[in-house]
Amino acid sequence: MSYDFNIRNALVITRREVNNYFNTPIGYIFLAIFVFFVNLLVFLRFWETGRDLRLLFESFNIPFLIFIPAITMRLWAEEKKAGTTELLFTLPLSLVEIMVGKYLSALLMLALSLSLTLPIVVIGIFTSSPDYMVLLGGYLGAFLMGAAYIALGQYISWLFQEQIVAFLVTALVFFLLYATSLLVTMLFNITFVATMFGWLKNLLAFISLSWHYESLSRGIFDSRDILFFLMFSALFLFLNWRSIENSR
Amino acid sequence: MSLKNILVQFQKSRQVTTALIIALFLSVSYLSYGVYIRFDLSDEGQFRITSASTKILRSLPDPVIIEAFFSSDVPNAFVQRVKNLKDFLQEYANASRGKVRLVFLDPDNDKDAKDRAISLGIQAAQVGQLDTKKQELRSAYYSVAVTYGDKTETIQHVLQTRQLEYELTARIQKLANPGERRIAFLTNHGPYTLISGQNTPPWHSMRSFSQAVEAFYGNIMEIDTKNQEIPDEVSVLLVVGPESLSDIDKLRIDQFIMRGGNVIFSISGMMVNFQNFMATGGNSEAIEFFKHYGFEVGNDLLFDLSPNGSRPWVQQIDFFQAIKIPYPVWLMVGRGGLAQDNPITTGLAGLFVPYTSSVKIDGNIINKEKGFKVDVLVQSSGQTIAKQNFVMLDPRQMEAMTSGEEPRASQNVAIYAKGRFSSYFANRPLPKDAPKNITKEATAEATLIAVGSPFVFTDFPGVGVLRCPECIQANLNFLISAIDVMNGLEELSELRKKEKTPIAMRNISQTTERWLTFISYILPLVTLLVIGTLRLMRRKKLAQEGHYGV
Repeated sequence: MSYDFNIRNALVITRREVNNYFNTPIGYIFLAIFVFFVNLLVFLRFWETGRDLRLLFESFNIPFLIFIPAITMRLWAEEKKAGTTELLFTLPLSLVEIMVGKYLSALLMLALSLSLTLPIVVIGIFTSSPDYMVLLGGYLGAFLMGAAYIALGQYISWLFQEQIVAFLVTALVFFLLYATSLLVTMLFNITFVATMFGWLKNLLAFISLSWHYESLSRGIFDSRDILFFLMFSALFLFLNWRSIENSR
Repeated sequence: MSLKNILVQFQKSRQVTTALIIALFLSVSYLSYGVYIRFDLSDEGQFRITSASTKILRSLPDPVIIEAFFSSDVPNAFVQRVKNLKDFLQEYANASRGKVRLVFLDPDNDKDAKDRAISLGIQAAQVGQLDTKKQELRSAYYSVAVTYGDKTETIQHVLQTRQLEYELTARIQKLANPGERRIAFLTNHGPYTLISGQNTPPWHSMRSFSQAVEAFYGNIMEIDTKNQEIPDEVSVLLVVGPESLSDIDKLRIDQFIMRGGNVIFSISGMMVNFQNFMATGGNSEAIEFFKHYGFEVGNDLLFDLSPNGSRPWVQQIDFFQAIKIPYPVWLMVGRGGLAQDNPITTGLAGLFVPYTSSVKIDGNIINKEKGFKVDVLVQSSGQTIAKQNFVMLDPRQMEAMTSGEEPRASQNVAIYAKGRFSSYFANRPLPKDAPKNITKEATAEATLIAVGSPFVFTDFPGVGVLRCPECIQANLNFLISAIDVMNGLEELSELRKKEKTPIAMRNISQTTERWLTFISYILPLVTLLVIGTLRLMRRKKLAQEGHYGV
C-alpha cells in the first residue's frame, strides 16, 4: 500500500481530467446550465429586494444539487465502465495522488462555475453598495460546501459503473443532505420519535451542509463551519480511498 | 492479550478503522460546537460587539446578570436562530471581562427555571412556520432577563441577534443610570396618534415608533399643552404635524426649550389630503412659531426626480397588468444625502420621507457666532423640485406635475441645531393665563430637530402598494438615534446602526436594469462559447499536426 504523495503527480491526473471535461461539449453545457439557473434564481428578486447580493449565495444551494453530481458522476464510474481503472492503477502514481488529482479537477470545475457568476457581483457593485466581506464569505462558503459535496460525489462515483446511476444516487443523497432540516422536522413531529430521539435532533441539523453555509454567506467566519466542511471532505476522501483499497 | 496486540488487531481491521474515523468526524464536529473562534467581518456586524457596548459594560461598578430563557426543543426552522442567539450572548458576556454573568435556563426541562421565568413575567410563546405544505407551531421560551442590583428588566421573545446588542446595552445603561428621561408627545393637536385604532389610518398611526421607544424610555407621555405643563422629567418633546398651536401651547413649548428641553418637530408646509389625493397650503401658525427659532419650513412639496433604483414607485394595476410608476413625492434618501459628521445620521443607510416640505435655516437666528451647532441631517438629491400652493398626488399625474421648468436643486429635509435659543415671548405679549415667572433667556442648551414631513414617524410604508418594512425600520433608526443623542446617549445611537437598511444607492433606470440582467445572462455563455471554440480550433490544429490525445 503506497501512501506517497507528490503534488506534481496529482496535477498530471488533474490535467487529464480537466481535458476530459472539455473535450466534449458536456462540460460547457453543464457550466452553462448552472450559470443560467443561478441567474434565473437571482434575478427573480434582485431588483425588487434592494439589490442584495446575498440572494446570489442563497441561489447556489439548488443548482449545486444537480451540477455537482454531473461533474462527479464520471470521476470513477467512467473509468470503471471503460475498464481503465486497472490501467490507471498500474501507472507509477499512488492511489492518493490519483484520488487527489481527480478531486482537484472537480474543484477546478467548481471554481470555474463560481467565477462565471461574477457578472452578477459586478452588477451588484455597480448598482448598490454591497458588503465585500459578505461576498468573500459567500464565495468561500459556496466553495467549501461544493468541495464537501464533490468529495461525497467522488466516493459515490466509485460505487457504480454506470455514470447515470452514479448521477442519480449522488443527486438523491445531496437532496437528502440538503433537506435534512425538512426531514428532521417531519420525523420529530411524530411524538414517539420526538420522545425517544429528541437528543438526536440538534446532531441531525448539524450535519446539514446548508446549515453551515448560512453563516459564511453572511460574512461570519466561524471555525466550526470551516472545520465541518474540511472534515466532511476529508472523511469522504478517506472512505473513497478505503473503498478502493478494499476492492484491489 | 497484550495492549500492543490489541492495537495491532485494530489496525488490521479495516472496518473498525473506518468506523473509528466516522466516529471521530462526528465527535470532533459536534464537540467543536463548544470551542470555536468566530470573526464577524460583515458591515452589519450582528455578532460583533461594538466598542460602545464594551465600554459601557467594562465601566459598570457592579456585575450584571443575564438570564437567557431558551427552550431546547424548538421547531427546526429556529434551531439556527437559537444557536446564533446563544453564541451572541456568550460573546457579549466575554466582551464584558467578567462584568456580565450569563446563565442559560431551559424552563421546559427545569422546574426552578420555569418558576423563575414565571416570577419575572416571562412566558412561552408560539414559534413556528406556516406554509402551504406544513404547519409547525410549538410553544417555546426565548426571552432574556437582565438584573442589575435589585432591579430586573426583561426582553421578551428575542428571535433576532440584529437588535439584541442595542436592547441589552440600553437596558443595562438604564438600570445602571436610573435617572428619568421621559419622551413626550404633543397630543390632541392633529390627526397623529401613538396607538392605531380602527379609525386611525396607517399614515396617521405612530404605533411602530411608540413601541420602539417604549422599550427603552418607558411609555411615551401624552401631553396636551393647552391644559397641561410639560413635566420636568421630560427630556424630548415630539411635535408631529400639529394643526394649530394656541398661545398657551406656544408658551409651554417655549419654556420647555428655554430650560434646555429638546424638541423634534415634523411639520409639512402642505396639507396632504388622502381622500382627494392632493396637497394644498398648510398650517402657517405652527410654521411661524418654529420660524422664530430659526427653522423655516417651506410652503412646498418636494419631488425628487432622480430615479432611485427599484424605489420609490407605486404599482398600478391597469387592465390586469402591473405597471411601475415612479413616484417622486416619496423621497428615498440614501447614505449620500445623510450628514456623515453628526452622530444621529452617521452610519445610517437611508431614510424614507414621503410628502415632505423643504426646511431652511435662518442664518440670522441660528449661526456659529451665537454658539450654535447646526447640521443639515437629511438632504434630497440635486434633481429635486419644490412645488407650491397645489399639488396633485395621483401617481398618474406625476408626469404632468413635473413637466414644468422649475429649477432642480438639492433641498434640506431635516435640520439639527443645538444652542441657547431666544424666547418666542421675548418681544411679544404673554397670553392672558400665563404664569408671571416665565424665562425669557435660555438657562441651558437645547436641541431642536426640524423634519419636513410628519410621515417619517408613522406606519406609512406598511400601507397600500409600498410594502417596505425596512423603510419603517430605517425611519425608526433615525428617530430613535435622534432621541438617544438628545438624551446624551450617543453610544447607544452607534449600536442601533448595526442594522443595515437595504436602500438602493445607485440611481439607474428600469431600462438599464433590463440591460444589466441581459448582460449577466449572456456574458458567461459567450465566454464559454469563445473558450470552447478556441479550444476546438487548437485541438483541430494539433490533430492536423499529428498530435493525438490532446
